[in-house]
Amino acid sequence: MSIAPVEVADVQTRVNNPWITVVWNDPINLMSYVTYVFQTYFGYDKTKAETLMLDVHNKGRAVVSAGSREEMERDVTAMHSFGLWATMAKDGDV
Amino acid sequence: MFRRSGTEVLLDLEEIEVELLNSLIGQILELLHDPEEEEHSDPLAKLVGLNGPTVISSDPVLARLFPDAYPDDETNSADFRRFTQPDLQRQKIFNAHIVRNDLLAFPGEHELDPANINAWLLTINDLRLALGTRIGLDHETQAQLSDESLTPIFGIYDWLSGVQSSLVESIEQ
Repeated sequence: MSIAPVEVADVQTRVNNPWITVVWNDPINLMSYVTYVFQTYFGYDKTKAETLMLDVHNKGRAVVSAGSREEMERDVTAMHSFGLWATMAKDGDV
Repeated sequence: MFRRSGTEVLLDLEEIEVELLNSLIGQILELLHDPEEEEHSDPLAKLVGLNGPTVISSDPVLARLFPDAYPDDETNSADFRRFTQPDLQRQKIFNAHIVRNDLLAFPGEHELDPANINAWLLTINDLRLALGTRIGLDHETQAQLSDESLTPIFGIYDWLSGVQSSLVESIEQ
């Protein structure tokens, strides 16, 4: 199975932040709920949150944040607390 | 279902829906090993429980609620799980208790305490994740469910989806 390339809005942010949080598609979480989580936790506006949600839905996954390893562990934990399927990786490993 | 009225978030539940939610919450608390739900809980096990597990659960629902953080990296996933899962588990139990306590006011239509709305959102989502995983929901089975014995569970799952959807709509700005 081939996976479409992952896009993230702010390329410059990724250069300086070696770790990323990836949210994977799952058949259970509602699209409106996932969008709501991206808005409330990350503070993204509705357009960006919906774009990321649609990437998750259509491409199977989306990079939702980038930063230090500690920051990404915090984001992954938060995503798990919301019931989203999230993992972390060194940028470039995914 | 939930609805928004001015600044209030209202929830309307019939008696059978209250019973259903109470029953589902009881089940998820049992699955999450809420000490209050376990009559013969072992104090030593609780003590050991201060440190979380290191491997993903063999129970599909627990595996879905607490997935691995590092794909293909058992060591880092184990460390992450040991430090984060006990807290996540406690949060889920705490939220489920808030919802169960709020349910005492129902049936009927009542305003939800804004401070409890997040607990409702997360608990209903946990219930949907648990049911959806139990019935082996995937993108194909969403279209057709072949095993008829699962039809009632699918009905409950569908109802919960409606409840969750109405809640998200009610709190969206």
